[in-house]
Amino acid sequence: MGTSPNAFNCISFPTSPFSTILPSPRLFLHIFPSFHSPNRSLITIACSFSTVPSHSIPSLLTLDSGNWRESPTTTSERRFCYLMCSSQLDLDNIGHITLSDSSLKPSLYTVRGPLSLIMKNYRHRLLKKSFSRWEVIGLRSLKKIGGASQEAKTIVIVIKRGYDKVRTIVAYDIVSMNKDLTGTTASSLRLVTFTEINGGRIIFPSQPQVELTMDILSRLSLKTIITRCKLVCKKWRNLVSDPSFVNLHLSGSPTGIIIHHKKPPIIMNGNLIVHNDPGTLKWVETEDKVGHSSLDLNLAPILQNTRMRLVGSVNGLICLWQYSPKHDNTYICNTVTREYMILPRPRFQKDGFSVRVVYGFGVSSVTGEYKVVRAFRARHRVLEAEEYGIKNSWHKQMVIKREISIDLKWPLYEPVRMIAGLKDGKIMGDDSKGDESSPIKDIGSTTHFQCPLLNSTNYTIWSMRMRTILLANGLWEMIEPTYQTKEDDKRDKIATAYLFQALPEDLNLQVANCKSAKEIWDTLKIRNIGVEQVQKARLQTLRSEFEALEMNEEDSLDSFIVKMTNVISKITSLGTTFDQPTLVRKLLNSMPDKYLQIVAAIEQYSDLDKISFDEAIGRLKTFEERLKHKKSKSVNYQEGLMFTQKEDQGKEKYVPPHIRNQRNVKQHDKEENPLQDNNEVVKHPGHRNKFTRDFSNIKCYNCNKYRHYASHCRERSRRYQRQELSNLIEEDLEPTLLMATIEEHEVDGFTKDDDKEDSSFKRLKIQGI
Amino acid sequence: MSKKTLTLMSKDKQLFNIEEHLAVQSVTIRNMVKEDGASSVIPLPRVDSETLALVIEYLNRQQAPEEDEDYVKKFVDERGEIPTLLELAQAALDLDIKKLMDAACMKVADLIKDFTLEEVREALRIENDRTPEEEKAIRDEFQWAF
Repeated sequence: MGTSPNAFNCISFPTSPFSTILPSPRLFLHIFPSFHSPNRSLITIACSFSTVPSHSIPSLLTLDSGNWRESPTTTSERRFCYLMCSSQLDLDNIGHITLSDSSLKPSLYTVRGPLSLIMKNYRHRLLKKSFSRWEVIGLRSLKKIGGASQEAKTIVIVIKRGYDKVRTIVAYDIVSMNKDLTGTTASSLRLVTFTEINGGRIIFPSQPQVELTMDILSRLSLKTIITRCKLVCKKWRNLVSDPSFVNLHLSGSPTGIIIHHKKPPIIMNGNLIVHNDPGTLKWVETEDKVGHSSLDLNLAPILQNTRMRLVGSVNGLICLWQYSPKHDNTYICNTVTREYMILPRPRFQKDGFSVRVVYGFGVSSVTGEYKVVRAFRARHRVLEAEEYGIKNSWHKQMVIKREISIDLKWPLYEPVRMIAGLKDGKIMGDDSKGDESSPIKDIGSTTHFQCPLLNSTNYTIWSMRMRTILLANGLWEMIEPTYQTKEDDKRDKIATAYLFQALPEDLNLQVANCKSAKEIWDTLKIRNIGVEQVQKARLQTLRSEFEALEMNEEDSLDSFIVKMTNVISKITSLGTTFDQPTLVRKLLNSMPDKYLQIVAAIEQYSDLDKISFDEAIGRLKTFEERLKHKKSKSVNYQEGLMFTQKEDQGKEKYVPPHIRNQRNVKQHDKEENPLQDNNEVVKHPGHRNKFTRDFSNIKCYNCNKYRHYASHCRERSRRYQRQELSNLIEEDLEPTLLMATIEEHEVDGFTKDDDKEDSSFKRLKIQGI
Repeated sequence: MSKKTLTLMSKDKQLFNIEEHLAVQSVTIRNMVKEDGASSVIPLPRVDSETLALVIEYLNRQQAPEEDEDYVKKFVDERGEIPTLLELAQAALDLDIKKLMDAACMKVADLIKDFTLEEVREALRIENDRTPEEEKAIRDEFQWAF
């Protein structure tokens, strides 16, 4: 036994009826394909007890309403027989079992009803001649619905074995006891396992033309289909590949057997040597009237140099178990189309001889689902049982893994070789009648996926994958309920089981208190998302916040430092640290202009790589204090500047006399003594009347009208007033203009002669008024 | 049971009379009779008159049940032409006469079983839509089966 059984997968079969029926633990128990009544939820298990393997007493056990009962058998049959095969109970509650005595002569018995074992001995009719080495290898109830006949028949396939050869294959129809199904004599065949191909017919709605073609083609032999129909046209090729056609063909096709023959093991020096040879599969149609259509299903393209065991075959699919010491794979092959799939690996590995693997392969006639049952057993108990369902169609390769419910009082010390219920899927409780007392409940199909294991770093990926897995199983609702979601304890448990499976042991313990899958999920989310996802995003925002930190002019150094250390500590708590030089550089870079001097000083006079962050803060603080001390002075200084500006503006209005003079000279040198006039006017405003003169001949340069100077021109003064107004506004708006601006004004004053002149003239005028 | 007569109308508007108790061997007709009493003519828009005549001949057979199988076989064997059989099978499918359809299909399958590819295409009027290369590829794929 390899690993410890996982709680989710392991099945234990706690109690057994055998303890009451047969107290002796020394008995070997052989359990064979069981019956399941199609119209009652009864399970009958054919089993035999013996103290020596292969010499056992047949018995039937029936599970009815949870109680096991042993069916009576006649004492005469109680000696030295062992069960070989059994068939499903049909609708009339008739099943068949074959028993064989030690001379390998098979006997056929009919089981009528679930509780009454009426053993009819067909022995003489089955084998009139006393062959030795006959062996029943198959017993199946076939329901042939397709074709003209609708009867059900039970077929026994019997082979005669030579020492290492199969001599004859005979298939008997039990109802008529006609030996009408004689197959081929395959002299080259060696060890043989068998199975039959047939199944229920499933009718799909389709186009009439297609349906007709399908019907015709379905009556052709497999070989014809492969070699001809696929070649005729594309439509036909698609047609014969269609699952519904496959089903149709299976329902109508002649019964055949798949023979798996391989080299027998050689005993050499007392050791059993098994060849690494997958063997050969042969498909033999036993009912073909024209001739035995034999098709060699060559395994070589699929499997080479390995040991295979044919688990079983249904509807042309074969289940192979690759069991060489290095491999432990379960294949399901469609040998005709050469498609195959490998089932998910089991949790258990075959490990030595202490654990044996038991297989079953079948198809459910109700759901059309193919199922593989795989059980591991130790000597007296089943360690684990798994079921894989292949749903929908072969082509979709959808594998559904199910557990088998543990509340079953399953009587198996040793698991069945092939669970018969598997064949019809009824044992799984997908009986369409939905009987409550169905002994094995189908927990619900949960698709098998490999759950990723959560560790400290992979939460993001883990949660994504787990979400997908839960979604795929329709369990995500349990974690994120929609408004339609109803409370579903069972599904919640399944989701919980999935989550537990995906958690390491220590985490399992931590979330053990959580009551629901959702709670577990949320716990994990809170726990991990802090470390991963949100933290990354937070880290990102914090980083950009850190980058963007800039000290404002008004900020005090202290408040800025608090801000900065705040961000830094947040980032540090998220696991990222900054080294000192980075912090110092960041600090210095984010200083406002007024710290420029100290920043430059620090940069120049200390090694930035060596100075600590705190030290830098200390230096800056000292500078800040100095700055505060000087602040009042600096304010005065600035106000002074502004004042100066105002003064200058004011002075500007009082145009300095020498400048005025120069201008006046320029402007009025053609007039009669203009300089003097102006000078007089300015210097002696009070004495204007002394300069009365005749204005009648004076022409204004501005408006070309007589009787006034240009300087007195009303047009001009109006214009000036407008400009003065705008000047005033400008002054109001810019009260804190710096020196440089003032100088510019002064320059303006010098360059814009007209304006200056005007202002001076204006002043004259005002003064004159 | 009174011998009520039903009227069936083929694709080309020909009318055929048949007694009801014989006609209801066809599940389709039986359902129609159940539903509306089939007072009017039952149109069979996909069955031509020759085929319908055959179907009616089959339905009108007077055979003991144990000989029925053989009769159907013989009935179909006599019309060994694949196109006729296909029409018959199609009509039987539409009318849901299982035994006739089974027999017709079986006969077609028997006939084409040993045909070559070309013969199959010819018989079923199927055009070969494959290039020789594609054909060869499939042959190679299933080489083991030939």
